[in-house]
Amino acid sequence: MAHRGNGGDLRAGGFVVSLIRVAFARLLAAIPMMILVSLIIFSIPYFIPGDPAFTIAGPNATMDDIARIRSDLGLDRPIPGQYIAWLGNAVTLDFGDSYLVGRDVRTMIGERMEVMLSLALLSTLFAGLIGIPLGIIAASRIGGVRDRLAVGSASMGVAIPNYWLAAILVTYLAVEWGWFPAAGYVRIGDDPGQWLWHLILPTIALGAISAAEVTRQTRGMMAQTMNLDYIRTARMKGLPPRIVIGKHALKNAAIPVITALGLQLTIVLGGSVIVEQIFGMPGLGELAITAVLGRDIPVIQGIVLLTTVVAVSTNLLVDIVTSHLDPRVVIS
Amino acid sequence: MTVVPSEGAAGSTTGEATFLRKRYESPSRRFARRLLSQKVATASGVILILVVLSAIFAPLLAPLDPNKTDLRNTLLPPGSADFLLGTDYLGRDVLSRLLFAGRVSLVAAVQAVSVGLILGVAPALVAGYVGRWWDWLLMRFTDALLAFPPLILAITVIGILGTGLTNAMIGVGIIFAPRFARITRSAVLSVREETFVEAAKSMGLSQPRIIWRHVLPHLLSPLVVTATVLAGMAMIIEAGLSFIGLGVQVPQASWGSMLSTAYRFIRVSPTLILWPGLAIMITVLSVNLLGDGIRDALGREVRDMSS
Repeated sequence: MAHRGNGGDLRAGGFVVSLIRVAFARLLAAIPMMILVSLIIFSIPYFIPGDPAFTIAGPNATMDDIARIRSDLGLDRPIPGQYIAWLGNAVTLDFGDSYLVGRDVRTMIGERMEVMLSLALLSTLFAGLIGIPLGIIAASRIGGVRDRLAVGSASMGVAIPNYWLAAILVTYLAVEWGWFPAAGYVRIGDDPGQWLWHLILPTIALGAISAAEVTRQTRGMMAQTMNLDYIRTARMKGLPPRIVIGKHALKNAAIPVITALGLQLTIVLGGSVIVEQIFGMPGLGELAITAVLGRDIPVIQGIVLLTTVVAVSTNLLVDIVTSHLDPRVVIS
Repeated sequence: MTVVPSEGAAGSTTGEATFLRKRYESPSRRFARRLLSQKVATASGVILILVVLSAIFAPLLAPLDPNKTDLRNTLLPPGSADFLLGTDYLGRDVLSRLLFAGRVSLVAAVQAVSVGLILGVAPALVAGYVGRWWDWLLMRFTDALLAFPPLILAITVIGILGTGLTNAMIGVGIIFAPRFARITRSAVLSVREETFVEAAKSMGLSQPRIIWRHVLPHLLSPLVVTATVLAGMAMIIEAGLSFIGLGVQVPQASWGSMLSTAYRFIRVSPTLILWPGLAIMITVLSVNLLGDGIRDALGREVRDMSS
């Protein structure tokens, strides 16, 4: 059963077994990459000219202070040992204390992660909800008026900087006309309605480029699929276009589109740093900027590691789901 | 392809010669003809040339010194006497700043793409050609760099190198490097198996020479297409980083830093935010559309590779 691979086996037991096999294979393949990622993040302080102990100790420190800080941070140990120790802590999300404010980085990030995640997830959702239908409509008659409108607006959308769009949305829809809140964030646990209400403008601003990108991808894939023989057959059978597009073509085009959505989430995670600033949201963006300006290395490392883990796990998940959906993919 | 009318059934030697002469079209010529036949791409190219020219000749075109403050004339609306697009909160001429900021954006895009090309292409060329564990290592490294959310990676690099435009663009270049590396590698892998490379090898040419003379020219087309797309992206990221203060530093103007000061005074002067945004949008749009045109004009292989 399980050894027959994923495509041909439709029974529930085989389904789960093959899903686990796919997931395991993908996870295994991602390990060398994750080790490299962790090495890169670990080595950030070593790229910075100067000694982190000096940075923490401040301008008035004595040599004794610096020596004490060095041994506290483990900087006097050999580098491979430091890496192992760092990795061990990082796995439990322990990045030490902020150099600037002396607080635990894990709590600092934890307080702010919700904003970034909410914004990233909603923006990706927005991109999918707008981009996929638009792409399908465009591809249903390539070269037609709707197609040209969709392609035109997608080209514009890709070129509009999200922070500019955000600023314009705030100015007109929030400040001038008062339709939406201009700034701030409400936790989803406190009031889900207000949470969504405060996130609408940031989501549109951040998701617009992604929506445009998804439109282009969907249109491209659908256009390719519509030229295939089996679609012609379906049409010749006299099936209505709705069924041909919705049932036959969409299935084939779905996988690359899902992959594209996963990639957009990665991009949006970074983009939220800027958009959060415009809407005055207490997210990771503000923290990241202060950390970079003050060279607060533990905070930088924490933010990079956490956002990268979110990005990698999303894409891994997308990868597992799509390769499971696609009967052509063979897991070696 | 233009259909060449036959010179008559006789097929004389002169007829054959004209036939050949007419049919032969150098690759660069064919590329130019295909590109110019696309209206959108041509128009984008013209707009882009205008933007580049206005940036180069900014000192001649700008009506005023972009950094000269005039505190008696702050936040003037567009259309004011002497200030065509108005002034900012320090009374600086917006039009002049816009023109000079164009230089910053274009230079930034060139910097970022160059860093990406240098860091991405050279290792991938060697790895793709030499193969084995070099190739494995490079691909894992590319995967690792691609795993980071792009903007977060750039911000981290700025955290290491310090703020400033060049440092920011090195960061953006590092985001681009794995993208260039992937395209280079896949192109090298396909070219490596071609007969002309085998022929060069059997003639005893050295590896570096084969790479330089025979492999590299085949990479040009996909790299040009990718570079155009990424240049547009670089401009958007540059403006974003300058917007949050990690890119260009005062008093130098960039479209992004102009946006961020305009945003602070948006209630007093709501039009101020339009100009830099429009400048970015028009430039990026024409870069992207030109890139699409180039890709379509280059032919099928490139389209497959760079999509």
